[in-house]
Amino acid sequence: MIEAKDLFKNFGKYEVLKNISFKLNVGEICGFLGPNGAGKTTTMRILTSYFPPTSGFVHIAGFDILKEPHRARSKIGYLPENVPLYNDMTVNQYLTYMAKLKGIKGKNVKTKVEMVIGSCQLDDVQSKLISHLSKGFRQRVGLAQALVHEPEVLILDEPTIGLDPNQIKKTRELIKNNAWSKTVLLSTHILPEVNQICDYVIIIDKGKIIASDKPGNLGKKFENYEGLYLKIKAPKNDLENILKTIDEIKEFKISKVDENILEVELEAKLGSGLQEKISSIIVNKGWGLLEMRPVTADLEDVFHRLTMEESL
Amino acid sequence: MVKELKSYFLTPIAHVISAFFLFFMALIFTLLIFNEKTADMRGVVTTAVVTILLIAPVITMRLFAEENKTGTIELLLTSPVSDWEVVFGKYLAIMTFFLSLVVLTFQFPLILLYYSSPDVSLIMSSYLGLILVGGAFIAVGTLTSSFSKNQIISAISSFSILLILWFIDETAQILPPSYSAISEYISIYSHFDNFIIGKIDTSDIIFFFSFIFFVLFLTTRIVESRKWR
Repeated sequence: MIEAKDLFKNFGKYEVLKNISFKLNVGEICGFLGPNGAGKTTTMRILTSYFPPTSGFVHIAGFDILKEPHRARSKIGYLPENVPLYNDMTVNQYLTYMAKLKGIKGKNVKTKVEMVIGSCQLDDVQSKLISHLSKGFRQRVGLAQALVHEPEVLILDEPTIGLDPNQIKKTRELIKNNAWSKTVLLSTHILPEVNQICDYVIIIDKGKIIASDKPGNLGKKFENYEGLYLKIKAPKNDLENILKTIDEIKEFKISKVDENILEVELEAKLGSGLQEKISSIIVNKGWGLLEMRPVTADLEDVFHRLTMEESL
Repeated sequence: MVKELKSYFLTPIAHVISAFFLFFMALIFTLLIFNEKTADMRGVVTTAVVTILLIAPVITMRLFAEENKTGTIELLLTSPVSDWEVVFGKYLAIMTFFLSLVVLTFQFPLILLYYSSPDVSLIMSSYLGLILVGGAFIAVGTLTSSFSKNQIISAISSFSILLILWFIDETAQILPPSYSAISEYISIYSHFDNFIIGKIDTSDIIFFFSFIFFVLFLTTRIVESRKWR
């Protein structure tokens, strides 16, 4: 379980985090989204007790990271963004070292290392020097060190960045397979990734949480507006003039597909009966309606709109 | 500590330094025996101290600088170990390497013991001085490694500080008396000098232990500085 409450972080005069609060339960995979410089890595570093918050508190598996940092850290598996590895070690040596560093003792070390090598599919490269591994394998070794002590909380900073599509797929499977009994927080820029593996999403921008919900529910933030896609055979100027006169339309975009065939994407107030209104206009004008369908906001739209709204 | 020591011996630096140190010690030992014709280890131990002054920056430069550069420091400092344990573990690793070099030089006093009857207590006090001075030099190297990502900068900083600490008692003659007492007290050479003449003074031992502890404490504070930056 991760609980962050009223987190603020200042670097000098620069306020990096502003009142971050969230709670994640066991078995939840949470996607942590935000543009570059939004404060994702800073939040993760606070959660892993790399540095403390300026104010606020964090509980990891019930332990306060400021009062009991060692016990809290022993519950965390952390993969920093740049996957720090010791290149002069073999995979097995590295994982053995990390297991010992995380407090595993005696015969358990060998057992845990063998288990994580198996679950992360590193059997074929376990005797290889880390410097000789491909980017995909290095990422898996990084993930293996985060998992080796069977932590209750997994914090992954952009775990699939820089990987090819096959490697991304394997890494996602690995996270999902290992996450069932843990609380997972993963930051990413890849929005489909959130839809595929996350139960919950937190969107952060300029140090503030601007949205947090299940991926499917986030679109509902824009429930007051509905999107509409039209394909019409009509003169562009006339269509544009008419759309401008309809009050319910928040914004629209017209693009030409072919001679006299136009594509229109528009956003209007919910329940404004716009489809009916537009249909009758088209019939009255004698234009041709080739296609009309509602457009629902996907996560990418939500992210874009939220972060753009914030920057306006 | 074990990881640090293992990875150290995987690099050629440890082997090159060991070979250089032992060859140099053997050369000095042979020259002193044939030139001075006395069963005395003081010249060899003094030369060993000067050699350690040169090699301590090299053997300590990667301790934290490498971890800072590759980012592994983040992994280390988010593990369930304290910053002090990290610093002390790294220090102990290099001390173990240094002590293994010192043990390898025991062959020289053993040769003297076999062919003559040297003053054993003098040899032992000289070696005690060598170990304490080496410990102090390595502590300084650990400190300078902690505030840089660049190993060369770490080595140069460490070498400069060690030179100052070695020769600072020379300034005693030109400084006002109150300052000259301080410069004499913090001079590593003036404390080592007693050991080489066979005088084991508790105040010198306390000086070296306090010095090592203080420098390692400073190192821990620098490692911790990420918390209040």
